[in-house]
This record gives sequence, C-alpha cells and structure tokens, in this order.
Amino acid sequence: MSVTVTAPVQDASSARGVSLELSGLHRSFGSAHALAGFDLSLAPGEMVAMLGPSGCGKTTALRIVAGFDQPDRGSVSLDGADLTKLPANKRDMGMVFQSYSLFPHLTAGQNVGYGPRLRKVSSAERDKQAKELLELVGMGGMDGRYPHQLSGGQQQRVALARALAVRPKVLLLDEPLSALDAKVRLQLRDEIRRIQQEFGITTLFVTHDQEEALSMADRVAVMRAGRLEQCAAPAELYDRPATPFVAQFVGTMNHLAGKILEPGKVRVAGRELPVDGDCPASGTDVKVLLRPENLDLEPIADAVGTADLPGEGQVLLATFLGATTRLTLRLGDGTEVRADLPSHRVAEFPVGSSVRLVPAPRPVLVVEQDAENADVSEG
Amino acid sequence: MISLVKKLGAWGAVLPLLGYCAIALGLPIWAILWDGLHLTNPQNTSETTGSLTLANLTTSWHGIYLKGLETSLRLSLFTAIISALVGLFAAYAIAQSKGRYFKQAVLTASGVLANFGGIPLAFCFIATIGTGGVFLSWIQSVWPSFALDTFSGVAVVYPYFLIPLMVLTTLPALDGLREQWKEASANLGGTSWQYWRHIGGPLLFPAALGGFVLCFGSSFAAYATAKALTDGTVPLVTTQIASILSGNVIAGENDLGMALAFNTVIVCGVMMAVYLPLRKRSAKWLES
Amino acid sequence: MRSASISASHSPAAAPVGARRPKRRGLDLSRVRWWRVAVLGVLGIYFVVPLAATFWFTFYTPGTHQFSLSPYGQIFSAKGFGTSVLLTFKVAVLTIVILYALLIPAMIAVQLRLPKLKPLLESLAMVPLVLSPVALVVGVQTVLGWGTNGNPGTPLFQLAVDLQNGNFPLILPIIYVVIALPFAYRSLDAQLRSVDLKTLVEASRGLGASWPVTIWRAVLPNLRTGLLSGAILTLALVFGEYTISSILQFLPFSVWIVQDSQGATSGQLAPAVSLLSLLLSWAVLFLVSFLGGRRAAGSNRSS
Repeated sequence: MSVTVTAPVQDASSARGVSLELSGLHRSFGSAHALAGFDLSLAPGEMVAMLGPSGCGKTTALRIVAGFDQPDRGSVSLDGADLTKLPANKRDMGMVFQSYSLFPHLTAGQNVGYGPRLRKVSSAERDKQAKELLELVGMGGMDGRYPHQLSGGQQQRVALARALAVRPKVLLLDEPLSALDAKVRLQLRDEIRRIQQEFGITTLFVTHDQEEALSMADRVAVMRAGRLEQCAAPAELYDRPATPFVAQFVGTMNHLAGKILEPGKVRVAGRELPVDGDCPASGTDVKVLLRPENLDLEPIADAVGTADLPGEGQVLLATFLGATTRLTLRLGDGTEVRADLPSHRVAEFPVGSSVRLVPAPRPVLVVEQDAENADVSEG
Repeated sequence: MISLVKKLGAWGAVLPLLGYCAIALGLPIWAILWDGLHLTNPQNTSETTGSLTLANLTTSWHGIYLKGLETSLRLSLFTAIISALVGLFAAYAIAQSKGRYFKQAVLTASGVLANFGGIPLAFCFIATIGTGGVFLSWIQSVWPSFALDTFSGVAVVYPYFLIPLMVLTTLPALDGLREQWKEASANLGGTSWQYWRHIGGPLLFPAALGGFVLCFGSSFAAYATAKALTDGTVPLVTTQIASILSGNVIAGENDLGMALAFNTVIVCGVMMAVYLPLRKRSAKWLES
Repeated sequence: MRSASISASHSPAAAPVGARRPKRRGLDLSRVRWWRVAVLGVLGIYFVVPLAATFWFTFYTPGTHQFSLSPYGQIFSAKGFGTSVLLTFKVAVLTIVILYALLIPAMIAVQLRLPKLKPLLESLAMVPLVLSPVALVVGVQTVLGWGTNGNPGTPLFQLAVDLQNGNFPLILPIIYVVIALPFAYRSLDAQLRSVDLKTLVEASRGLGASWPVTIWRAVLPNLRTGLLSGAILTLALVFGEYTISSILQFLPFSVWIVQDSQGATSGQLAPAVSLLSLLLSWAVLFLVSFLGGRRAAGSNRSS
C-alpha cells in the first residue's frame, strides 16, 4: 500500500521531540515483581523498543508511562518535568494498543476526530484533520468506514492516526503488530517507522518479536525480570551483547566449552582466541559464546568412529535458508552447535560426516560455567 | 452440492423447534387474534360469525377494562424504569468486580430470581410486609398508608424479579465493554464523564433500552404475583382476564376476555418490535 | 552499557512467566469502589430481607410465642402433597425432555450452519417472557375448545380430551416447553458460546463418528453445565407455575399450595414451602455452576 508522503500535518515549529526519562521504576503485584528498578532514557525524536520474554515487565513499564498504572517507587519525566502523579488523560501522549481499541460505534474518521473533539476543535476542522491523517497512514477515503468493516491492519492504521491526531509529545505502542499476520506486519512496520521519523516524535514501543525491534528501533532495551539488561543500537546489541542473557536472547548463540589460559586468552575447540571484555581468572572453565556465522568448518580426513578432540563432531542436520545453510553438529562432548555456511559450500559436509570447527579469529565473550542461565533463548 | 445437503440437514434440525413453536405458541396466538376480531355466535358459543369486527375491542377500551389497561401500563412503566436503572447499576457493579465466585454466585442468583415470580414470591412478601407480616409495623411507621394489596404494594414486589432480569440481560453487554476503550479515551484526553457520555453510554444504550423493554413486557405480563397479592383490588389486565375465564361466563363476556387477551398480544408485539433491532445493534458492537 | 561482571548474578524471585496484570484503573478508584459497594449493599438487603423475614415468619408464631420448624414438617404430611409433587415432577421431566430434544439440535445447527437464523431463535426465546401467560392460556383454552366442541367422533376431539386428562395432562408440558424456552435457551447459549463447537464437531466427524454419536459423546458432555442449569431452571419453573395450571384447573404443586394454605390453620405453610423451594433450587444451581465453572477455568483468560 503506497503512502503519499506529504508535509507533516502539524507545523514543524511546535517542537515535537521531547526527552523521556524513566528512573528507578518499581512495581509489584502481590509477590510478583514486574519491575525491580528499571531505568531508561529516550532522547528527543528517538524510537526505542522494549524487548524481552513474557513477564519481563515491558508492558508494565509502558502502562506506567501512559499513566494507566502507578509505580510503587520511581518516576517518569518528560523534558525534566515529573509526570508520575499526573492522571493518564493529562499526559499528552498518544497510545496504540495491541488490538480492538477503536470505538466500534464511530467511523474511522470519527475515531480519529475523538481527541480533537474533546479539545473543542470545530467539526469542520476535525474532519479535515482526520482526512489528512488517514491519508497519511494509507487509509485515504476510508473515513466513513466502521471498525468492523476494516481488517486488522487497517484498524491499526486508524489507531495510529487517532493517536497522532492529538499531537502527542510521546508516542506509545503496545505490541501494535502482534495481532496481525506476517505480510501486513512487515508493511506496517515500515510505515510506522517512516511516520515516526517524519514527525520526529519520541516513541517507545513494546514487542516480543526480536526482528521487529531490531529493524524498527534506534535503540533496543532488552529487559528481563523487571530490569534492564542492555539498551543499545541493534548492531551493538548483536555484536557486543553486554550480558549472557542478551547474548542468548538476541539472535542465535552457540556455547562451547573452553578454558581460560591466561588473562585475555581462552582455549576453545583446539584453538586460542582473545577474550573480549571481562575475563575470569586463569584456569577457569568457561562457556565461549560464538555466533553461527563466525564458525567455519573443515572436514576431518579419516572418519574413524566419533571424533574425540575438542571442536570435532558430526553433522546432524542441514537446514537450507537461502544464501546460507545452517548446519547442526554434535560435538564429542555432546554439545550441539550451529554453523552457518554459504550454501554452495555445504556439499563438502554431508550429513553424518565428521568435521572440525574453525572459529573466526575474533575476540569472543566468555561466561563462567555456573553462571549459565536456564532461560530459553527466543529467536 | 455437498453444502446444499449440509444446509438441508441443518434445516432439518431446526424445523422441529420452529414447527413446535408454530403450533404451541402460534396456534393460541392465532386463536386470540381470530376470536378477538370476530363475534361469538350467541346460540352456539363455539362458533363465530363470519365478519371481522372491532366490537369486542371497543368494549375492552371502556370502563373498568380501560382502567385495567391503564393501571397495568402505569405499573409496568413505573416498575420497569426503577428496575432498569437499578439493574443497570447493579450489573455494572458486578461486571467490575474481580471475584470469579462472586460473579458466578450473582449470575446464578439472578437466574433463579428472575424465575421466581408468581406465588412463592407473593407469599414471601406477604410474610414480610403483608398483614401480620414481620416488618409491616416498621414500614408503616414511615409510610402509614402502605398496604401490600395496593398499587404501591405490588410495585414494591415486582422489582424482585425484574431487577435480576435486567441484570441478566445487560451483563453480557457490560462485560463486552472493553477496557481498552476506557484507556484509549483517557489517553486521548477524556475524563471519566466524557468517556461515558461519548463512548460507554452510546454503546450500552441499546442493551439498556432493550432490557428496559423486556422488564416492561414482563411486568405487564405478570399475573400470579399480582393475583396472590391483591386478589382483584388493583385492576390489572391480567387479573381481569383470569377472572373472566374462571368466573361464570356470560356469552358476551367471553368475547371480552378475548379482546383483553388481544390487547396484551398487541402490547407484546410492540415490545418485540422495539426490542429486536436494539438487541441486534448492541450485539454487533459489544459481542463480536 | 555493560554489566559490572558477567559472573553469576542471582536475580531475586523473578516475575513468573505470564505474571497476571490485575485490572487496576488508575483513574478514580476510591470513589468508584464506594459507590459499587453501596449499590450492591442496598440491593443485597432488598433481596435478603424478604427471605429472612419469611423464614422468621414460619419459624416464630407471635400468638403462641413459640419457635418451631413445624411448618416445614407439616409440608410433607399434608394431604395431597405426595400426589401433587409426583405429578409436577413427571410434568417437569417431560417438559425438559421435549425442550432439549427440540433445542439442542436446533441450536447446534444454527451455530454451525445457519448463523443467519440466530436472531430468529433469539426473538423466539424472548417472546414467552413478554407474552402474558394469561393470554397464552386464553388462546390455549380456545384451541382446546375447538376440539372439545366439535364432533365427538373426530380424532381432534379425542386429542383435546386426552391432552386434558386429569391424571396426567399432556397439555401442561406442551405449554411449559414454550414458557421454559427463554431460560433454557439462555443457559445453553451462554455455554455454547464458550465452547468451540465447530472444532469439536469437525474433530469428531473427522474420526468417523455419525451425527448422533458426535452430539452425544463430543458435544453434550461439554455443555453439561448449561444443560444442567437449564434443566434445574425448568424444574423450578414448573414447580412454581401457577397461572396456567390454575386456569386450566389442574393440580400441580403451586396450585396445591394455594389451595392448601387457604384451608390451613396457620398461614405458615405456604411461605415455608415457597422458601424451601427457592433455597433448594438456588443451592442446586449454584453447586452446578460452581462445579462447571471450575472445569472451565482459564478458557476465558485474555492473552
């Protein structure tokens, strides 16, 4: 669906970009700690995604920012002004809910015009604004339709227009795309990003879909158990995860057994690699974190029995992904490893053959053995 | 082709019900409409003369029968309004509450109470505030002229089954009010009052009005309770019909009974005509 | 941003996966709660007091200053109790059977194949609520009259007579089906909505079951609660029904109570029976929905 990119409806002089600050948010429900000291800062005009597994507190944090919930401790500030005690209807924020938030008895145009109507904007002006906004989100000409006549994707577009109609200082999105099917999701993703950048509105959104977070946001805040694990640009999150949880959560990660030789060097899969970041004492057994694309393979000459040396194993499965193929291996010590190779090379390593790992000569992250988390990585 | 067979099969499952209703419900109604509009042959009371006539109906619109109709309508309106308002608030309070057992208990109670009209209800109230009733002296100290077998007396009793009826009818609609709408309204700058005025109110209106109409109809149709409480002291259409039927029937009076019944059928028809579109609208918005 | 150490960070009791977020409205909480309590409180009084007073009335006799539960005992020994209860019970059972035999196939068919008929069914289920039973009786009497006033030899005449047989008036269940329709329909409808009928039926049929077997084994067990509550409501309705049976001059339970109380020495018998029947049906219904509700736990939770 093509979107006519026009000049923003609101005049650019009304500085839309505001900074948003969440500090020390605590929120418990009975014995469950939804937020246990959560901090996040958004620069003006920035789009930040809150990402994490169920129960990590991302939705709770969003609702606190919106004003639908009160934190037990901590504060929310806009441009330095503390909002925490302000009721939801005075916060000047626009929110897009996950689903079913359009008022069913009003048309799309009337839905979008609801906010302005409460602000005593004249009927003619309201209609004009609504038409323009609907045009902007790709719903031109549909202002007379009722929500039940619209598809899920169309409803969310209208919801977005409705949120924008009140010229909010901050835009909040609560998993806006989760209820939609894949194709529509991709389309809307781009459009939301485009509109957000055009308006320059500071935006905070919640998602459990990694891909969505990484592709849409300026920065991604990975959360776990009510706390922030890491907040960084997508590339940094991927290449230099700050904690084991982030490393496992974002993308796929292998864990290989290794041992620290000396400060800054670890022995893994029969090779020595430099250690990136914090390094435990020499002699410690560690798990080395390696991405599949950083693993190469070489065939083992004689295929007598199972390979015994570290870093050697057998090919279990080959999954064709297009340009690359993911090979799943089992090492001698039972570890399963995934290695991504260009598809044209896969013929060298048929299923069942014995191979040896060749990690790329780059610094690696290590984790002490007992610090491994049982968290299931979501990919 | 296969779907045609399936459809036929489905119709086959529905037809017995429809057929049954056509006979058990339709025949009596037809009988009333027919006899109401025809005069009984004075010689042979089982036959009716050929022509359509409004004579029966016009008789029924005079004298104590007109009074009966009037009182019935007044009673129904009064009790329906009170029950509808109270029932609506009660249903809202219930929809908001979080205890699952509480909600379930209330729903069950409403189901039984809505059914609890008639004789048992009358006896309970007689025991409470009828002559010799436990609380009668209390009530009479604030309301000296109160007596159970008057208009006010009956009006106090009817809500006992009307309110649960209203709760049962409107609770689904209230449950269907999504939380997101309230939050979206607040987010867009609306106060609680504005939410109810622009969103909640309009959405609930059809269901509430439909509930009111249902209460009105039920109140109008009630017989046993009124009979047990008043035994004719308050002129109501239903008791009048019954006394005609069970008393000694003079030839002309039989037609009158028919006419009165005819009136009630018309009232019922009007109720349904108002109720149905309301119900459809509400269902479309709140129960999809 | 890096955490200080990548070594073990024992997190405190982490929020359990899927921690529920209770519905807390940060809007105007205290005012709303007060008002809710007030309304429900007053209503509670209105509904409970008559019942309590009735019990007191049956329990305590002001004239003799006696406390006794004797009216309840008297119920069972009163003349005609047994026969009227039995008659009413038989009528009720027959009503339920006919009602369900008609309703269940129709509701399933409409839900699965003929959704356009839903409004028709709903309106049909509303009419008996709004149509006065008195009027209905008038109509029924007339129709029966067509039979009895016709020629004695015709089958119509015989039918009309049979229907009004004093020992077991078939006409009663026939009418009661219509009157109980709204309540049974509502119970079943509420339950049908919460069950994924389409999948159940398709699964069963896909495994090779015929329609009757599918309904009996796959569908009905899932409708247990609705069926039971509908049955109990119908039972209560038949036992409480006075209008039609009194005008047609039969003697089921309600009519018997009224007659009996008019001859009774104290006015305590009738209220006692009324109270008892109400409490009983309540208790049973609550039990039924409680048991049914537990099984259905979790199906309505929003994601």
